Amino acid sequence: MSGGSESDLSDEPDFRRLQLEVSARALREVIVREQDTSRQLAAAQRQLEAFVDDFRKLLSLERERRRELESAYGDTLLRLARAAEFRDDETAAHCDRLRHYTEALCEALAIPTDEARRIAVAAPLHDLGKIGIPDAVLRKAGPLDDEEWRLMRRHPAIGASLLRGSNSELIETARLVALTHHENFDGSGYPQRLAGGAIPICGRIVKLADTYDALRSRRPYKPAFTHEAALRCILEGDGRTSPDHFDPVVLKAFRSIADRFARIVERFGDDGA
Amino acid sequence: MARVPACTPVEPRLRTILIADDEAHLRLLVRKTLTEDDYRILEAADGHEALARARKERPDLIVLDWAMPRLSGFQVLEALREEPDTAAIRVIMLTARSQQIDRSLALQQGVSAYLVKPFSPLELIQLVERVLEEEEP
Repeated sequence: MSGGSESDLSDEPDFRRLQLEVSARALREVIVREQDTSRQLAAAQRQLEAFVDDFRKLLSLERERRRELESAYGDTLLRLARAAEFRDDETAAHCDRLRHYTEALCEALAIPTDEARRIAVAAPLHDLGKIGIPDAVLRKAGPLDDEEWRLMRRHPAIGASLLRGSNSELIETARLVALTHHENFDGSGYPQRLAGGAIPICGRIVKLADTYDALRSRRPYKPAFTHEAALRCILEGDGRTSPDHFDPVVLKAFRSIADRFARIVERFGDDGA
Repeated sequence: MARVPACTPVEPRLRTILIADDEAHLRLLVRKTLTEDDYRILEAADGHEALARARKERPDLIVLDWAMPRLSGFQVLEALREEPDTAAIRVIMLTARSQQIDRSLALQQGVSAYLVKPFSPLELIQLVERVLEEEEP
């Protein structure tokens, strides 16, 4: 009995130790498995981050490309506008002023940024169609006769046809500007005698900007007007221009920021100089 | 008038890429990164399968993991190089082993590129394009 109980007593710790070892081994396996899992998760996490990094990189590259492309378009259009103005004895400064007047008007009218930018870049192209007008008419010092006016009034349609069929929104805006910048809000303009909202907003804006700049510039038949005289002409009308020619909303915006127009002329010079 | 011979349009051959990695999610990532519009993509989940598919399908390129069960990527590489039919198959090593010595060993076995995990998908795409453009060795 006593021997048996002795052996029980001596076996007991061995058994416990064995049991402990087995448990410990099982626990170690669990831990190793867990470590493996968390290592894999960490690796997967790092891989995911690498994908996100590349995604961001591509996105910013894409945006940069788009900006480059848009500015290349804008640059080309500006050169095209200058080519047209060159023949018309207008200057590069005229293109710059038109862009800035248009920007100012768009801002006052709260036109969305992208559209405002398109209109401003397109504005200097309004007279592109004058490329197709004979020198004898375009450069004539005296007043034009009826036939000469008929020819001259083709320039919006010519400009529009040169700009037709592009899938660039910028060029499409330029086409609309070229086509409609001589339309009057009261329907008395040309070439389509459009009235009111039928005239695209870009045409209504550029018409006002172009009118102001023409008034401030010296012409064979008139001196350059002061800002005040030009302002009066537009707001009150004279023999040639009437406030009814302008969109009242655009006119109101112009009145509110007219001093910006004056500063643009100061900054970019006038053609008479 | 001389007749211009009719041109039969040349179908560009879709290149075959074998992705060998024991982790399914990584094979999926590589497959999605390379896209099946651009390549015919095969998969292998261990070294044995990789070697077997390489022998049978003769892919243009293998994207090869190093640490795989049964046969490691490095053993696969050695086996490929020993057999005339598969010796020229181009290999991009894609592995978590970032030590210079591993890179050197792989390069000695003529891998075209060695890319460490976590990998940049952009870099993988560019590497694959570059490696496939290279003249057949």
